[in-house]
Formats: sequence, C-alpha cells, structure tokens
Amino acid sequence: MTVTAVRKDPQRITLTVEAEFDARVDRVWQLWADPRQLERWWGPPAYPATFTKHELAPGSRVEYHMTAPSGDQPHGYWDILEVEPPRRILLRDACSNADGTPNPESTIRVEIKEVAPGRTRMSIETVFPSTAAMEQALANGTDVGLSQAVSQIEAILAEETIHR
Amino acid sequence: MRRAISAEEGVLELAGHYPMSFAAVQKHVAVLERAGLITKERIGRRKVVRTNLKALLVARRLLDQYEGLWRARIDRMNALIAETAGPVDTVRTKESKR
Repeated sequence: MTVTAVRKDPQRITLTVEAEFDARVDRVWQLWADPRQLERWWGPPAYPATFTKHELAPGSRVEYHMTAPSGDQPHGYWDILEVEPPRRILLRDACSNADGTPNPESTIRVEIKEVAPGRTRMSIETVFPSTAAMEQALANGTDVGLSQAVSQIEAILAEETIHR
Repeated sequence: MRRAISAEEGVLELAGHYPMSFAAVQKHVAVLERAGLITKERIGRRKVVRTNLKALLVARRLLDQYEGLWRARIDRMNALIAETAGPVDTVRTKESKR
C-alpha cells in the first residue's frame, strides 16, 4: 500500500493524500521536477499530459495540455508560488478556457520528507475555492468526464431527497 | 456547520457555542459562504446562517472522486520509481546523509 493516509474536509473543500515510496527524497522530487516524468503520471495513459513549459521557480508559470481520446487538448497551467527543492512546492493549478480566460483553480501544496533511510513520504494537499472549481478540475484531469461525474452526483442527491 | 444544519442561528448565536471570538467565527462563516457551502440571510435584525446541504453533499462526492484521481496518480508514480530503481536507489550512499 503506497497511500498511507487520506483526509477529506468537505467544508474546506480540501483533500490531503499521503503516500510513502521506497526511494530517496531526491528521487521522489524528480517526479515533480522532471517534466518527462511528470508526463508519465499527471494524466492517465488514455489521457496523457504534455508539459510545454516547466520551470519550478517562484513566480514561474508551468504550462501543459492534456490529450483526450477524442483529440481535444484542454490547456492548464501552474503558477508556482513557493519552491524549496527537494522538499516543498506550493502551486496554483488552473485551466484556460478556449478564449484564454482562466478558470477557477486549486491550490496544491506538496511536501516531501524522509521517514526512514530510503523511505520518503509525500503529502499533497489540494484546496478548492468552490465545488464548481472542483468539478472543472475533475473534468480536465480524468478520463471519467464531467457529465458522468455530474450524473452520479445527481443520482446521489435524488436518493438523499427520497430518504429525507 | 453542524449547528447551522440543525437550526437556523445568527452569527452571534453561533459564536456563543464556540471557544473562539466573534471575529474568528465571522471569518469561518465568510470562508464557508465564499465556498458556497452556507448562505447568510437577513431576517429582521438578525443574520441567519443556513447550510447549503446540497453543496456539502456535492463537495463530499467530488472529494471522493478526487481521491480516486490522486490514488491513480500515486500508483503511476510508484510504477515510475520501481522502473528506475537500480543500485543507485536501493543502496544507501553517503548522499542520503546531508
């Protein structure tokens, strides 16, 4: 089991995931610092990400796009707020609409630390400004697609209403 | 939040339930309001706080989906690390002591 803890706070719309890897801190850092490695995990194989601009420095903008099975290429970017190699990144993830306007974003805090020799813990905290922003992030980041996610939510809400 | 679900209370009454200042409670209420999880409504002289239960349910559901997304990402990270793990990664070197 790599994921060691998951915390969900619906009131703050925050998700924290902790995972441990059998690798050194520097190796785990490369997952974020090397764009070619990022491309191998940010998107699922059927919906891969391509990073076209990547520099982890405060004030820098990292740019990427996803490639959907349909050929659609939604664009996203990270505004890097804080970086402390090889253990900390604070970034704002956003996606741009077709007309170039930004969409509501999430703030992602990554912390990497050694828990034992050769064992490294990564904690990723994602904070969303609203549920709408979260739906958007899911639509762009998964192959599930927004319509499917929304229909699931509607089914659940309908159920809740009946039970009340 | 729990109190807002069970009863409609004003910000002032809400503040009375918590060991924090009125200003602190007001700040929490403002954050929840911005996130769309609660609404404030003026009834007479009181400001009543109402939970947006639907939004809360949606938030919880979306967080579940987002958890799935990150779990899949971490699986891929792990596979990537396993793939490149050679003597450099498995053998302790003096580099790890810094």
